[in-house]
Amino acid sequence: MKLRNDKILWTISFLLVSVGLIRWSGWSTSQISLTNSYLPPFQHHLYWLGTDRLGRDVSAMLLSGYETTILISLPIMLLAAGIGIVLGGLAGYFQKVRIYLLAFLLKVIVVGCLLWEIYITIEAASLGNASIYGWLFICLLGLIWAMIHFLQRKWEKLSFWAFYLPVDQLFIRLTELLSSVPRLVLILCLATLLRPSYFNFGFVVLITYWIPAARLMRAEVLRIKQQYYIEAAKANWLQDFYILWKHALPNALPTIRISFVFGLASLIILESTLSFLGVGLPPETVSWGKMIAQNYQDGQHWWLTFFPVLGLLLVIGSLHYLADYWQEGGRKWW
Amino acid sequence: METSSLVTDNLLEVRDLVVEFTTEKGTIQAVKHVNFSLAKGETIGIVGESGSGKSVTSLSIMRLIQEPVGKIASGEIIFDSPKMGKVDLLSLSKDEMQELRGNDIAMIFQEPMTSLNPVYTCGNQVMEAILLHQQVSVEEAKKRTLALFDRVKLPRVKKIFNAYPHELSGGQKQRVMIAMALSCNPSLLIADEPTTALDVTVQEAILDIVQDLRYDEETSVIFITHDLGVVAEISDHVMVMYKGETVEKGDVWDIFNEPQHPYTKGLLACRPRLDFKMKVLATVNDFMEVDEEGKLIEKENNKYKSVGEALLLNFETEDEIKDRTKDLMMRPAILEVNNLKKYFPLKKNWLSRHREYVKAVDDVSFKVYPGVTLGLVGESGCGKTTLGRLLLRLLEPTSGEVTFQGENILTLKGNEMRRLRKDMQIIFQDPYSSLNPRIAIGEAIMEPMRLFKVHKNDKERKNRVVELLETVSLQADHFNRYPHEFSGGQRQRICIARALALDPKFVVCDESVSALDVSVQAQVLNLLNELKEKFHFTYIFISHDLSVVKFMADRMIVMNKGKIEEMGFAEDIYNYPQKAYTKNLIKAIPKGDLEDVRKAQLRRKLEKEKRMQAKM
Repeated sequence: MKLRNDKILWTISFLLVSVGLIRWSGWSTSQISLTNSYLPPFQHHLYWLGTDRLGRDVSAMLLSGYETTILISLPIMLLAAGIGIVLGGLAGYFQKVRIYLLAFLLKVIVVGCLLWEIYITIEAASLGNASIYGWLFICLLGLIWAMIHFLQRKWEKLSFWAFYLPVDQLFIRLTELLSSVPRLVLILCLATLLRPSYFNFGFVVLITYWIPAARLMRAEVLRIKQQYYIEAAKANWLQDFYILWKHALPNALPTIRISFVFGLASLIILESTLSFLGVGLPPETVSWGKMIAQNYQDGQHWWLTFFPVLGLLLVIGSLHYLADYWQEGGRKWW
Repeated sequence: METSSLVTDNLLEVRDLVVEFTTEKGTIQAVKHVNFSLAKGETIGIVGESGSGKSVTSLSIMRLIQEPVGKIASGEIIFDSPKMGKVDLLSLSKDEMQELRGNDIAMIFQEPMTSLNPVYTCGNQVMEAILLHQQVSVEEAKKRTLALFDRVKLPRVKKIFNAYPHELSGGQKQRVMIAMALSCNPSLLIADEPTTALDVTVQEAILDIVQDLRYDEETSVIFITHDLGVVAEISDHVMVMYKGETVEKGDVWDIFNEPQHPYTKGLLACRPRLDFKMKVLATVNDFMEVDEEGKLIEKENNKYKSVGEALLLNFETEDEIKDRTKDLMMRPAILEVNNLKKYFPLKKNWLSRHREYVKAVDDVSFKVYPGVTLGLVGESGCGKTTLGRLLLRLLEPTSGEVTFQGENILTLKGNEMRRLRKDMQIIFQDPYSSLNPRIAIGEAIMEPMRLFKVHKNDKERKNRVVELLETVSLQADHFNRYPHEFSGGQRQRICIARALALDPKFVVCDESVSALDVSVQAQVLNLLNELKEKFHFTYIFISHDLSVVKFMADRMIVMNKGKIEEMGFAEDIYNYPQKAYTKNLIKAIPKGDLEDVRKAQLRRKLEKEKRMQAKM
């Protein structure tokens, strides 16, 4: 068991440390030297894995491609899992929520504005022309939301037209709708409409990627809700959100983290696929998919496709190894 | 006995059986050198608590021990098979064993809910067993299945033949299981706690079926149970197991009349009695202790010399009970329930407004007086658990009133409810799922205190938790441990400590001891009573077990189908039941006293002679 733990630790450190390697090594992916084009691997002391048509270092491109992959996939997946946990948890726990129509409508409008504003502001920020007003406006909208919430709590006259909103049913229908559309098709359609950028890519992928985590979280919460410790907590009249946070979430996490790792692996594949097709990411970024796309018909210079493919295999393999370990009931966080 | 002269004619002989399990912590002997024999047509009862190795013994007879985790290390199991003659089951090949299993040896499991495959009809599953082991046509198999269903006294056999498991009740499922086990006329039937999950009245019917089997087919039965009462009713011989060892075995009369081993004495003394009221239950620890080598020895200066003495010393006379309860009833009620109803919608038909309901709690009214424990009994599905939850507002009632200390709790909101919540607590049935596996138990007990801001700071709260842990006989250094490190009984103590954290005035115990072994149950019941004396609580004690309720409760409510069947002093209800339902319920409980043992033995003898004559 001890040995296994160490292996897992090594796997994780391998995955994480490789991200920083390109910056630390000082290699460059943009240095072109036509005299050194098509150098085979393991021949030159500077270009370990050879060079491509323009004499760019394959080892540098490999590391840089990995960095792109992880820096895109990990935050997206974290965000997706976060959204999934929140939505799935709420849907599973509350099932039906009593809604006060007026306050609810106001809140929906405010939240809609808020999300749109956040989208615009972040996009602007990612393009480099962020303005302080955008952020201020977001804060203002948040304040308005809190005000409505507070008013509705205190002032009972706002509480007319109450009805039960079947949150869980809505949630199920929404996930069914989204997962009935083929993921790749949806992403390709959206990607052609939007400008290729990191941010748009993330946005497009997020639309479908929160679903598996959310569904899993909902199922877990439904299971955990049956346990007596939840009822014991309710018997103490603890706040629902406290129960969700303190009692339901920690017990759901072991399952969620497995799906998280699988999701990360599939996201890496998706990112490679998209960049292979030349969609989504800005053209100047280096990525494994793109390396493969540029060279896969070139049978003579095998190393140009072999190493990115090997890299993909290694990364996906390590992630599945991790997931396997957790599935078998590895108790520690790693 | 006639058979004793022909010892070699035993149907089954288990000699020196050792079963080992390999775990991360090393090899554990689950069964240590067990010997017993079983003659044709006899029943042996194997009694023991969880972890005593009784189920493992039976599984090794079926050769169903999961390898490579478990392994039969040594021993012989000689079985007299009608086809193969005398064979050692442990030396048979897999195919031969398969042949035997089903044909000559059959088994019934504890959990009828999961032993049937939910996607096939009950008839199909029994038919499958017949077709697998006998060369008969499908029509013949169907005919036999229906006959079997008839024999295990299932109602409307044709309907049940086509029914899926979820459409049947627990008792009916267990009957289907028995029918399946009987399908090939086995000469040995192993019943592993077949009635534990069932109501007493259903249990009685199942026991009757097993008895009949013995008379009609001369089937030998190994009956595994933790309930001594059941053993008294059904078996000729008894084997008592403790931690993998046989501590005592012998004739059922001898065991009940003159138990030799301190553990057996403890087991007999710690069961709550129906025939008289006791102040404190004797526990197994009063009789025995474990010495340095891990062996069981009799306690030297024993509190009680014998089982009879243990009962006599704790006997509470009727006058004492009356005196105690009389002035308690004079005080104003702490909790008053008026016309409480809870209907669950059964079928939602969006076309019509007519809805069908399950009336889980149907127009119930009663009062609870401070310091008077109210017992709530009834069979599964009678609404007792729902009622308990309604009182705490874990469920919202359809209509009715619950008044606690003069306030109607059903109309209270948010913070007002929280204030009351401090005074009301609940202890659940399943000690395994009532503690969050990811929170250390000290934290779990401290959590309600912190949220209700009891005590000034965490340090004081921590002291209080330690105090509570000691109150429920756990230690201070258990504070940082996690639930999986504790046994069922200890966990239930932790749950009790958590319920006590806020100094409640009123505690609902929902089947709080049902999942525990009898000896642990006795300790927890005593603890609950001690705490009641110490902190002046009022309990509502919900249980399906009438003897437990009778021990705990001063007043008692018998519930049936959501309604109150009978209400009054526990003694009165037990001694003079008014309604037929209550009478049946009381009659169905196996009491396990000496008189019953003698009666059962006599009955068996008479029945045997009668059948013998009929055969002639």
